[in-house]
Amino acid sequence: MRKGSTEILVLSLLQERPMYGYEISTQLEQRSGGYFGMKEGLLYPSLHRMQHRGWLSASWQTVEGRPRKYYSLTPLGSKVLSEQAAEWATFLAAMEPFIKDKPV
Amino acid sequence: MDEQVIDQALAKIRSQLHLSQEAETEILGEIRTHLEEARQAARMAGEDEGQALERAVAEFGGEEVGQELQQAHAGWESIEALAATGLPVLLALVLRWLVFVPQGSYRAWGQIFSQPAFWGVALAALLLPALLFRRWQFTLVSWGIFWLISVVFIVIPHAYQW
Repeated sequence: MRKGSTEILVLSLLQERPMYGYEISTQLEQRSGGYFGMKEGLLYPSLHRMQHRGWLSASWQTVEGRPRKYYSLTPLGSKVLSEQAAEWATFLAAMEPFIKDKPV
Repeated sequence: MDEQVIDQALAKIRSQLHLSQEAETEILGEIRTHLEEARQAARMAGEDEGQALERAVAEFGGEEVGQELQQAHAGWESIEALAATGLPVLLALVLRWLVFVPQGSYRAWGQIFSQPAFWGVALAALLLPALLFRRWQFTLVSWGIFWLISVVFIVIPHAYQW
């Protein structure tokens, strides 16, 4: 996974609805066809950093007898997501002329 | 047996953590849930109990996850500790100023208890740590000690001068 991409991926997922760690991990893997798969445990330091920064809020809920920590996007997190999405869009647009029509 | 495997995996991660008891318990509780969910998913995919658990633990990671978690939390705990120490001291200083400076003498300090500002700050000192910090008990103890020192060092010298 590219440096700095975990944050925008997680923020994008949580924009849809609150999710818990295992769910985020499987969604990342499934939606990217395994491309964004990583050591599952390494997702948690990212989640906790974003929680400390106020981008995510978290609450414990018991579902099917199992305690789960659900993460939600905060208004600050939404703002950060918009900014990061704009940066990535600019980056991709700038890269495009260089990689267009190149053999893969 | 299964619980033992999960406990061992959690122990590896815990060995890298040097955080408050409360933070470590929450982190390890979240990881335990993750491992149990992953084991269940692998079981549903057709793996036997032993394989499912082995896969869940291997895919999660061990010490390296603990190290990353320690880094993610250590900075925040330091900031929280500084704030938790600084806020009560600041509030104690405001209280000390409210109590002693306006009257300028030890004789009048008892009158302060009739002032709303005193009770406003005192209430904030009691409520803010409880709302802001997880280890609010320590904050209140810190505030209490600093306030007591302030009172003792001002009241006692004045008492001896009487």
